[in-house]
Amino acid sequence: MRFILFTAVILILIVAGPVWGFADLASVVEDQLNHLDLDDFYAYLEQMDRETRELLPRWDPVGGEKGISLDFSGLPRRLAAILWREVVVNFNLLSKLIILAVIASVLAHFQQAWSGESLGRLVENVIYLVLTGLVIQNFLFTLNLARATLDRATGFIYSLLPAVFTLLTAAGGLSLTTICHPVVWTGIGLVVQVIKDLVLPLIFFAGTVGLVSFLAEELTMTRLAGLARKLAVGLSGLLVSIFLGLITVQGVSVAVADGVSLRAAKFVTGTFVPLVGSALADSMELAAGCSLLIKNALGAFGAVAAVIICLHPAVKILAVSLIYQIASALVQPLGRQRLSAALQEAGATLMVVFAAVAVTGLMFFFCLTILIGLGNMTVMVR
Amino acid sequence: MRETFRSLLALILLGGFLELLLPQDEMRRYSRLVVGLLVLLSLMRMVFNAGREFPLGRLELGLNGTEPSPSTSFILQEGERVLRAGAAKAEEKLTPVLETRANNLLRAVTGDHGLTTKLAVGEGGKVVGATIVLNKEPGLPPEALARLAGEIFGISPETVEVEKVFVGKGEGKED
Repeated sequence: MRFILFTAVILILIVAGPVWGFADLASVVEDQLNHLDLDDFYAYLEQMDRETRELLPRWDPVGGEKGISLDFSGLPRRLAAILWREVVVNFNLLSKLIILAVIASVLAHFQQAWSGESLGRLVENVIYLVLTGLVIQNFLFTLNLARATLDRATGFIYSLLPAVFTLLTAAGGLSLTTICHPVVWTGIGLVVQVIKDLVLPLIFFAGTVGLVSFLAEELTMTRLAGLARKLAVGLSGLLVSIFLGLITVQGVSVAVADGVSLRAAKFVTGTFVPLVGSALADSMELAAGCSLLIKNALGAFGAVAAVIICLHPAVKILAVSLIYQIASALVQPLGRQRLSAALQEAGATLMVVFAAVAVTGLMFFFCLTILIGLGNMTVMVR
Repeated sequence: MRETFRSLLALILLGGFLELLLPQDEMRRYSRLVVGLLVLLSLMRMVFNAGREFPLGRLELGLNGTEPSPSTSFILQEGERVLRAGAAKAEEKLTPVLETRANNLLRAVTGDHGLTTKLAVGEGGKVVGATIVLNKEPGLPPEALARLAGEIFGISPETVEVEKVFVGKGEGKED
């Protein structure tokens, strides 16, 4: 009897090797995908406009190693095409700005000819006022676009996060989800809300004050405008850095703990139940691995998509900013320094709006990338 | 806040037009000073108002995540469900392989090359029972075989059935 049991144990050790050579990963991945609630996420993708959807990568978690497919070589070309198209669309604005500048310049020369200095200055100021109104209207449009973009990107991330955290839990990151889910959810909400309610109004304040103060030459407030602009940039940068730092520091310590506890659980299951124990541990490991695969694909897709969702309107804002800077460069030779400086100021302000949207997009990108990395770290420790 | 901002802009514009309207004398210098002081006052009022009227409510909304968050416990449950679904599928795929390996093992132990093992898989893909079908007399008592199988599959020997299908030497079933 003892001999038989000994032989059996030896045989068990021989046959209980890796059993997953046959495993059809795709079927497990598909089964897990069927159990995953991605309705909100798909609904959000459906809502997007056609142009943004065309830029998004194709997501194929069942496609194994591919995960997502993004045309990296084509993306810059398409973005450049969008930028050029927006610049062309905004040529209308450029022509208005240049015509106003030319009128102001011609009137200034008439003023010199007629020696009616006050009248000439008055007309120039009226033209400047018209220009200021045009630019402020443009500011408002751009800020609304920025707000809508932030709302859209946040909505997209919120539709994605539950699925990412569910997969993170399935991949063994229980503590990671418990700690990071509230922090990420609250952090994103808070940062975006502060950018919408504080940073964007500060940029608008900076732009408007800077622009209007050019009107009263002796009452310039360009320093105040510069300070508001610096505050806006600093605040958004600081908030994003704090948020990303917080989830990284919290996540790294917890991810290691998750990995160690999973390793212990696998050791216990695999060691104390001879043949089936190792198979059970293997099947759990396979399921966790498949969850990780889906999470990585979903996270990578989300990270790229979040950047693209922000990038598309950001390119539009950049185009308007470029138009102002081009107009400033073209107007300068006409001798209207005040007008040229004001247009430069408007361009710089819009560039800050672009930066705020871009920083938020990058925050979403890094947040999802960190979550992917932390999930992978759990498995690496395991 | 919006009103203060508007009045600030209006003041700056007023300053600009006063410069145009007033003659180039002491009057213009004084008016510039007065408008400058008014702008300063307006700015200070704006800073105080910004502190008082800061949209804390909206910040709270941000703290709550601007959109209702699914609770962490719900997400953990969902994760567990997805993991179990994947594991069940994996074990479903695994069962035939386990049966083959168990067959090979028990055939080597009993010397019965026609021996077959059927595994009963319960909820979550776990092995809950086994049936061993013998084609010839094994070299050990059926109880020992059941105990061995129990050890192999991590189940109680009582859940292992040993069936003898060979003719002449007591065809039947033993638990």
